[in-house]
Amino acid sequence: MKSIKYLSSVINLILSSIIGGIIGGITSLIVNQTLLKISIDNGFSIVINIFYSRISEFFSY
Amino acid sequence: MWRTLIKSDYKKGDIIFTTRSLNTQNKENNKIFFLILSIVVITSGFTSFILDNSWFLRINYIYKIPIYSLLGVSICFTFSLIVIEIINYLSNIFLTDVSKPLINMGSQYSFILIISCLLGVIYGLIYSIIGLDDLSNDYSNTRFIKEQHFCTPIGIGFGCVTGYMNEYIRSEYSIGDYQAVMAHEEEI
Repeated sequence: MKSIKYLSSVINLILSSIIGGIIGGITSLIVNQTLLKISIDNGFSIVINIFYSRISEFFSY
Repeated sequence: MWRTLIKSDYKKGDIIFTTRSLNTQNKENNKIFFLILSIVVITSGFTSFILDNSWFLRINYIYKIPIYSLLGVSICFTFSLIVIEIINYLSNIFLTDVSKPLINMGSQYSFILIISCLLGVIYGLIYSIIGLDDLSNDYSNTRFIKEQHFCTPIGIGFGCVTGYMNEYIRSEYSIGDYQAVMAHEEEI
């Protein structure tokens, strides 16, 4: 029973590392694309589009 | 599916104000942390005004580092919040009542968001050093690919560490701790 518990926690750790790695990789792609868009295209409108919903949601509580 | 959605006690905005913590000091710290990051996001919105100006494009890359780091931090922070929110929503649907939530404690939030801010600084640093905003050069596409080659392994590495630590912190708390915090919140 103890060994099964240990094994499941090890599998959980490995799985969460893999999922974290995938999310981290996707994040890096998205952040770089967004930085490129912000700096080369019209920065203000893109920033507003991205952040407006989050900021308004944050301050609505 | 709909029954599960109705049964799940997910509330809109569950992420920000229900960051669970075992003591009030941590709760206060979490609030301050979120406040600082929200100010960073708003400041980055204002700094984007100057990105289109010609003087900004001509200045040395060293002066661009703080601006791009600020933008990187705000983008990473926002993206991480969205991902955490989606994960919490899905975990509310698929996990049973006796299983521990995936990302729920204040220490988990703090760790993930600190790492994401650190990543934002690194991305901003690399972006400004490589100089992708300089439209005068013909190699911007090649430079962008080069930057991706730098940034993607860093993102994957930090993501692995964050996922591992999140699971480690989750295993540190027992299901009793979560239930105690939930019961305390319901009393309030």
